[in-house]
Amino acid sequence: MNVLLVEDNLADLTLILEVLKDEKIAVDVSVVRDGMEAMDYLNKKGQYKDAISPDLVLLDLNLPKKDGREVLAEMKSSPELKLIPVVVLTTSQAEEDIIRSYDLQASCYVTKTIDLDQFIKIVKSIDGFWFTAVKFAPKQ
Amino acid sequence: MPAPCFAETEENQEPRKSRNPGNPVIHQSSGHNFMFKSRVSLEPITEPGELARLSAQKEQAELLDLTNDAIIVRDLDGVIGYWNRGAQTTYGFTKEQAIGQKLQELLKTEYPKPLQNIVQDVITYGRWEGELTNIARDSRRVVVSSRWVLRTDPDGGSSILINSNEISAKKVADVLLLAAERQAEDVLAAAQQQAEVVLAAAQQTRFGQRPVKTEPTELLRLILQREQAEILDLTHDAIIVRDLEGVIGYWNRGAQETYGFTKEEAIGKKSNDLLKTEYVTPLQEIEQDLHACGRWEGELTNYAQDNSKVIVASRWVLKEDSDGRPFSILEVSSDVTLQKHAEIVLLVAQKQARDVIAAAQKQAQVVLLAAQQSRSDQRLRLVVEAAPNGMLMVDQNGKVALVNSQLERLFGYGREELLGQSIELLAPEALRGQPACIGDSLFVAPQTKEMTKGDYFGQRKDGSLIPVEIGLSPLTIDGENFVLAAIVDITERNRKEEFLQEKISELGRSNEELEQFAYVCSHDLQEPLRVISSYTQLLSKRYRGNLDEKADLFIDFITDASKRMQVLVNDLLVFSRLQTKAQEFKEVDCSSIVSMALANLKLAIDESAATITCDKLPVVMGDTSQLLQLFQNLVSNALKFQSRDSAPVIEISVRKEGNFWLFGVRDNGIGLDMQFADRIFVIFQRLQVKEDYPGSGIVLAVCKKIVQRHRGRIWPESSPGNGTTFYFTIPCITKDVIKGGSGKITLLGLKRSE
Repeated sequence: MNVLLVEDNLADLTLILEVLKDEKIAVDVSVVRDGMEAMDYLNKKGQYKDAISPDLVLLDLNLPKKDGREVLAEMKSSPELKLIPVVVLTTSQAEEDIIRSYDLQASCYVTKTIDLDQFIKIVKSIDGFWFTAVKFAPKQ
Repeated sequence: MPAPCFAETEENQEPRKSRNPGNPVIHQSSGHNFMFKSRVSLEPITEPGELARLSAQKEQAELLDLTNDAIIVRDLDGVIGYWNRGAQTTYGFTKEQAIGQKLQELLKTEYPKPLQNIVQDVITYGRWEGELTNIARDSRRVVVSSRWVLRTDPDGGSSILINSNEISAKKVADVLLLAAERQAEDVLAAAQQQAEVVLAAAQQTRFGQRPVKTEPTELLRLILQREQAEILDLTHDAIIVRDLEGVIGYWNRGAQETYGFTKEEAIGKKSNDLLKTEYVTPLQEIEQDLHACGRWEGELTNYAQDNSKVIVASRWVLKEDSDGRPFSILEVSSDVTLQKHAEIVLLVAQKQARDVIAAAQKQAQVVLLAAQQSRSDQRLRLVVEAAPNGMLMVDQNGKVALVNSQLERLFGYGREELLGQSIELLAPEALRGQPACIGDSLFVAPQTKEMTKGDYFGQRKDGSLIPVEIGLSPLTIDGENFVLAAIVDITERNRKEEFLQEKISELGRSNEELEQFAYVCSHDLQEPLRVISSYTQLLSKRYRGNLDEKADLFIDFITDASKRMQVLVNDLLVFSRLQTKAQEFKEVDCSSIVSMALANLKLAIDESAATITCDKLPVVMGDTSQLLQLFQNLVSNALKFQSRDSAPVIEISVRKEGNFWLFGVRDNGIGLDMQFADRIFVIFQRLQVKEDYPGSGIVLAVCKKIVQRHRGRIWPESSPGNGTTFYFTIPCITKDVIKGGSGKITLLGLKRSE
């Protein structure tokens, strides 16, 4: 199980990794820090030419260089990438962000909460739902 | 010109009157004797019967009837025996009516002295002359110059021959003229008096007119005096008998008086040589008429001894001998010179009187008009002067006719600098001659209009421009068109408007910034907050019990604080969204809104076992989600501050107060001290310690903001321990609010009352 985590905030990405570790969720997590890198990784360009295609993308919306909304739009317009499920992780509770994400065919929209326990629940449910229950489209 | 004639006449008045003072009086009766001496001897007149016989004699009657003078013969008792045509003309009675009557009774004669004495004079001196006033048949007063002569008959009997010449026409003319003169003078005096009064008033005003000089009436007065004198100088007819060659054979006293020549000077002379007669028609034609008809009448101009012009009305009768051959001409002439003059004078005087009266009337009219004008001018001036803003009146040529002191102040010109000047003087130099210029637009269409839209400017004397608003009214005064302009300086208003506009945009900017700030707070602050919160929780989770007790407590404080901060940030976002997420107003049924609110609060209501009652609520214009929030907040606030002893009872009520619905949400909770009534609506203000009643203090702040946005107000009524009622108002739906009109309102009302 390979997961691409697109997150610029070190605190957030550390927390995710820590929670995954604490909860003993066995996934291989690759981390990129901005939207450009994310697209390079997904398209296996440059330093990511040997990257493994992820089974799931955890995508923050507010990113430097290329923001998460653009990354989502590009993925969904690419035949190779459009089948990869994307879980949007964000602090934004703005309605328009939520609506837009679903418009861009995000698989799931998850608001990062301030409560750690609740966050752990979410990560667990992602694990339960995506990492174990969902039968993914075959990798190309 | 009559004047020289008067002068001449006046000069000759005295000699003419006493032309032959020493000569024996020649009576007309002796004229009769002369005329008929060769053929007829005048019978002595003793009895009326005899007189009648005499008068019956054709020739004699003809002769006596030629004259205009009234010739009457009466006996010593006054009984009339003879009455000629002249008498009939003068008094209106016919011969038949007169003869046999007593003269003084018939004519109701007024004598200057007793009749008895007059008769005595006639008997004693053989004659009497004087002025008499008689009453004619038509009741007209006839004034005559009368000459009485005693006739002694051969048998010794006596009778009196009276020859009277009417002068009353002249008297009437005198009276008329005098009256005309008086009338003219009265009119003039009245007009002058009136004019003086009016002019005195008019002179107080700017538009007053100078008095018109009165024409002197002196000339008229002089003319009348002279004419009067002339009338008094009337004399009797001149009677002349001449042969066919024109040689004078008879010349009476009347002729002497008329022409100034004595009988001795005249007889034997050719009459037209002596008198330098001027004929209107050639003498030959006159003579032809005379021979053909036996008589001629017409006007002649002769010259008297003193060379003065004598105009006579002349009657000629051709006398024939027994064989029917003409042998002499009888000429009876009345001097009409004075009559002519009098007529002319009368005409002139009348005309002058008319002119004077007309002039006086005209003058009076002019003066009156000027006075009226000055009065209306005065009124207009007062109104204009009293106006609170600058006013000016402009004539058709664009010249300033009137200004008030406000306008003087406004433009910095003195009144005298503006009056008569072109209105363009007040227009900005750059605009003069252009349509935008005040001056031009005044007369483009002279109708009442407002010049308020667009920028109009006036230029002050110092060259500075002032923004103005102009109201124009066309005005017609005495047929002249004016435009009255009210000019308002709107500098101050413009400044205020600009200031207000600036403040509005400032407020808009600050509102925007506030919203941005609120969004930033709620959104961007959450990121670090969440990190703090998450890691303290992670810390607590992993290391609780591994550090000392205090460390665990500190970690708890941090966790709690960051959670509360998250709530505050979220509330702030909600509060800011009241403005940014506001919906347009539409009809909202408050009853269904309250139902939704109660449904949202179902858990809390059930937990607290609250009893909630609600009136039937009206439909209002509002923002559905905000009104929902309002009711929800107030109910949850009531639930929150419940008393510990009893279950909450919440009553939602409504009643109409004027144009507003007054809603009330009453609880039986802990109540509040009214001194804090204002503070509870301030965001994040709390009255209770958060341990007892948690919350950020945003609920009521949001309520207030929602109510304010709905143009209502909100306030509590409470005291500690007695529960609280929150009242708020929302405007009723009026026709203004719903364009659909009253039908819809009725429908809605029905819907509500069902």
